[in-house]
Amino acid sequence: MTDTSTAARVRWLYSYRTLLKYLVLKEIKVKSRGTYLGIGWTLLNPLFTIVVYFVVFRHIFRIGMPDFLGFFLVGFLLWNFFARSVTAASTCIVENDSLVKRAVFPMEILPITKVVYHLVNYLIAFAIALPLLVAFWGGKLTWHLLWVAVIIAAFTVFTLAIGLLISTSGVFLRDTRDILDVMLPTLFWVTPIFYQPDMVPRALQPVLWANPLTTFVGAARTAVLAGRAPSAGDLGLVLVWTTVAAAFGFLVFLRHQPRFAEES
Amino acid sequence: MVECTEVSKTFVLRTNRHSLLKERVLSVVRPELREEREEFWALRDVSFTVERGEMFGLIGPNGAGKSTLLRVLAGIYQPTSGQVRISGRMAALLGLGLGFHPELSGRENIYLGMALLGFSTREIRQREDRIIEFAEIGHFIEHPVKNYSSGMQVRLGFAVSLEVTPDVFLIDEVLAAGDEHFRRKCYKRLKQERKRAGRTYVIASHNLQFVEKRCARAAFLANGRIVAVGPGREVVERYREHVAAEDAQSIPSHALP
Repeated sequence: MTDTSTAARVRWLYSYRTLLKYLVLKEIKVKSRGTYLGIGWTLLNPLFTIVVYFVVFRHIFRIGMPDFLGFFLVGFLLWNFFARSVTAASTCIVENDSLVKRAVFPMEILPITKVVYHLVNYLIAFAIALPLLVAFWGGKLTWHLLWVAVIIAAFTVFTLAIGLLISTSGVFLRDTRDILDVMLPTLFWVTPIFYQPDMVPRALQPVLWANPLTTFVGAARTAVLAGRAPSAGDLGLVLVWTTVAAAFGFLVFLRHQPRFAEES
Repeated sequence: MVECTEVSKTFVLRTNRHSLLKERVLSVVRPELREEREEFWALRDVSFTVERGEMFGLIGPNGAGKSTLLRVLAGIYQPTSGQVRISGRMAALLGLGLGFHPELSGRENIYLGMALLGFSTREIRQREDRIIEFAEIGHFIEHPVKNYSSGMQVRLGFAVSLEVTPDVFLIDEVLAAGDEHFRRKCYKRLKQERKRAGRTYVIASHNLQFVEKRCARAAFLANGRIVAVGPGREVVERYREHVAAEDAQSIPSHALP
């Protein structure tokens, strides 16, 4: 694809930002409508998660590592954002076949909607967790905390890129969702969420570092828990993973997108 | 102006369709599970031109390829071969409602539908009252669309799409579900807009009187091919003869007196 056509595509996509807004609102409204607590669930859901893990790690499954809950939550919330976005993306084209078959619009809006919706949920969860982290669980209130915003921004682009790949796959292979249901738990354990990377035996270290999530989670932890800027090496890796994934994700999506209407 | 040159569209019909990875893998070891592909020509060498400001009708039996043709014209399907050229801005209304979501209210769906057509929030706000008035939805506008009758959905969908000001407007059958009063109102509006803005329409319809009366030109499609193109009245005549001939063939002789 040439530079001019990429620029034109991005401009076209930008001109549909109103659609993105109303699709995300639809997502929020449809999920909460008819439920007793309505929009309150977006707050209660992460709150319950935090409370449950607090009880488990503080009173049942006691772990020697100091501030383990903080260590765990930073990784776990990021993971939830990734896993939920990607799962939702796997069915987003087929689910919206009434739009895909009837209207002409930049279809990448559909996976973007899912990622933005889960990003909003993640940010709410993180906003609830952050004061608790700083007050009780080893979070450091320093200017370096701002690095988290950079890491989250990069991670959102990375998640979107994977979402674009998975949503393309979901059109042509209807069991993409089932494959994810099997693969994601494996990926969860290949990401250092419950453990520290240096606890992994030397032989398995390459597997851990071949997983992009390891770098993102590590960089976020450095900023929140160590009160330091992530290392230049980590930031470089974040940049590489994000750029490579984004280029590949958009390329694959745009190449297959002309066939979505007839395949979904 | 719409120019459609030798457009063909094939779909691959698959028996044992392999949309699951498991099936693809299994079929490597077990040849009897391999999918059978059969090409289906939904459109074959379709050519016609619609002049600027013209109302062009598409008629033909179910499955003739009318909807596929409109989707190819709209750019939703890629033609297998041939070319489509449309000059100016194009909009399409292909089916009930513009991807309306049943759980959302009529008003919320107006915002969603208008955004899908590329409008900004401010532009939608300026137009929403006019849309609600034209659709004659009344206080139901705050109710979820799932409680609407199909006629109400059509009215709302059509009222939304009337706000687009395209140079070329593609419409698929949608008016059929509206009642007589609303249909007349729509046709009147379409006529006004066509005269005022020189807008071009391509309308797929089963309403032969409409095509006869309102469409300067029309095309009769059967089995993906064009049987006749020309003045609306003559093309409808050809279609009526065709239907009569088919009926005569399919009525068994012992049923005749």
